[in-house]
Amino acid sequence: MTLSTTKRIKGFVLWLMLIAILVIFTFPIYWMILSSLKTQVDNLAYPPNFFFSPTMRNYRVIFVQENYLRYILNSVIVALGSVIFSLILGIPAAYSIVHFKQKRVALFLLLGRILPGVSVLIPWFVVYARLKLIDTYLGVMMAHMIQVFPLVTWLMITYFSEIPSSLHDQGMIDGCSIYGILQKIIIPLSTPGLATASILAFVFSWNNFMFSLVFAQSRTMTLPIAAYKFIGYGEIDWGGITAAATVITLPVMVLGLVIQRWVVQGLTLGAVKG
Amino acid sequence: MMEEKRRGEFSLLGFLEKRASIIMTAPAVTFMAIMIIFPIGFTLYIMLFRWSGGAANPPVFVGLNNFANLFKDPRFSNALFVTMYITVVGLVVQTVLGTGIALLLNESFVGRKIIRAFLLLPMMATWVATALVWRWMMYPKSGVLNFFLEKVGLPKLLWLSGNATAVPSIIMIDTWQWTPLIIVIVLAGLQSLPSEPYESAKIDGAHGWQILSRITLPMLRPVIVTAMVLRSVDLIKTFDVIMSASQGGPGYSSENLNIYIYNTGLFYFRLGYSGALLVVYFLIILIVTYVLSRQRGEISF
Repeated sequence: MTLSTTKRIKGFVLWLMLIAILVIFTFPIYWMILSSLKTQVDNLAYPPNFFFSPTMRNYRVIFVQENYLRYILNSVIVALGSVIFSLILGIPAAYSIVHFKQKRVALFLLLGRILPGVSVLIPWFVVYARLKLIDTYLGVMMAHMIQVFPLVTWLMITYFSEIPSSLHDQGMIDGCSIYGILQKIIIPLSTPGLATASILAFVFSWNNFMFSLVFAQSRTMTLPIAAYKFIGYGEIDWGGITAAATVITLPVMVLGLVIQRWVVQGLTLGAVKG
Repeated sequence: MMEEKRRGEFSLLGFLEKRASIIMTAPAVTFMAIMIIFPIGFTLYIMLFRWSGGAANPPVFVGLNNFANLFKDPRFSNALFVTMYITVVGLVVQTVLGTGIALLLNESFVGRKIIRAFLLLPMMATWVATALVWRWMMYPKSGVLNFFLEKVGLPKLLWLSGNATAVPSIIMIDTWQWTPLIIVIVLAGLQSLPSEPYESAKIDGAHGWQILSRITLPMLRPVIVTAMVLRSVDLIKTFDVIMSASQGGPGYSSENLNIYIYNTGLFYFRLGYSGALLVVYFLIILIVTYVLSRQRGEISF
């Protein structure tokens, strides 16, 4: 066998393996969308139908019978709110941390990522119950911020530290205060970073399950909780549940593809850096 | 008058400027302190009491009884076992698979970019939603996974409904979701490796496997360990997947510490006992993070 044929076979095997990996990792998403277009009868058929007459019935159930527009609105309100509050608190803090090298403050803010959610959840449940914060937008947003806020701040720290400090010094010479520098020089320069950090934080809040499960039970119910409530005691409506899953996941998957590069950075947040 | 006012303004500005580091971080630190320090204090206090959370029944002091009860609680030891099971097996499987796939992807220049984009989907997609989809695929009666098993001539499984298969099923879902993270991290590490060792290895006539085991893997070790630290902390905290796929069942067979603590505190309202559980749980997380991070430190210095 010549070298080039071995190489070609090797390349072919490699491609086959890559395609197999791709199929395995995307199959559940394909199956989710497929099942959402089937009736319950089609879904419960065995062996499973790969060819069937698609129906939009499940989506009608979700949007007409169930109140999914309301849950979408709730999810958007909570996610937007927690992102905006996180930005207001996080931007000045992140800039100060970078400029004054406040490493300890940075580590402290990271605690929210390391602490298990349940350890914050139970004490706050007791307080929320007293203050009547359960099932209020403010209460849910604050809970989400425990995870969203460190994320935003840390992403901004990474972003700000890439801006050369000569720009800051130039602002000083021009007579700007640090606040003026932040407002007039740093923030305008960081718009792409701010946008990606906000989108990623939005996705984290959108996906949040544990805090919403306890604090957003009825009036403020978010999408993940609405989907979770599909599990009852009887036979589960698989078409409905997969339609709900599709409605919840499609927007974040699209957003995720848009900000690919930052996704990894956001998810690896808290990696111990040497 | 004018002069005085101006001087007053000036010193205010001066104060703002001089104390900028405190002023700019204070709101952030205050928020985090309230949200996090209070729960820690509350937990350390309530662990010494028996309390069901009602205002009518005040907490009763029981000292360290809650901790003594931990040792007699079979559900606690079960949850501890399930947590370890998920963490250890999940970590090993995901690290091996993730590193392997990353090495494979690194070979193909074209495939890398496309596949990396698709690999992000399981991580981004709302975890509750995808866990519910897996629950459907694992449905014993008409799930698609049993159909595949039958096609290749294997016996059907009970998956999430079987005592012995529930935890492996949970691990399988988590592996689908989070192996991509390891792939992406290792892939980034591979691309930042220096080329000199490879060149000298080629001159020495080293072959594929030798290069992999003697050069690539040792150099990748810090990156792999970082990925493992991240994964282990999250594996110990597995919640969304279990809650939506099996709810800790059947029985308590897939109930890990996180789910058990959640149930103890917010389902049975045994707040004091949940405090004791939380303290133990947090200590475990700290120890695991510390041990694994040290592993990395030893190598990088």
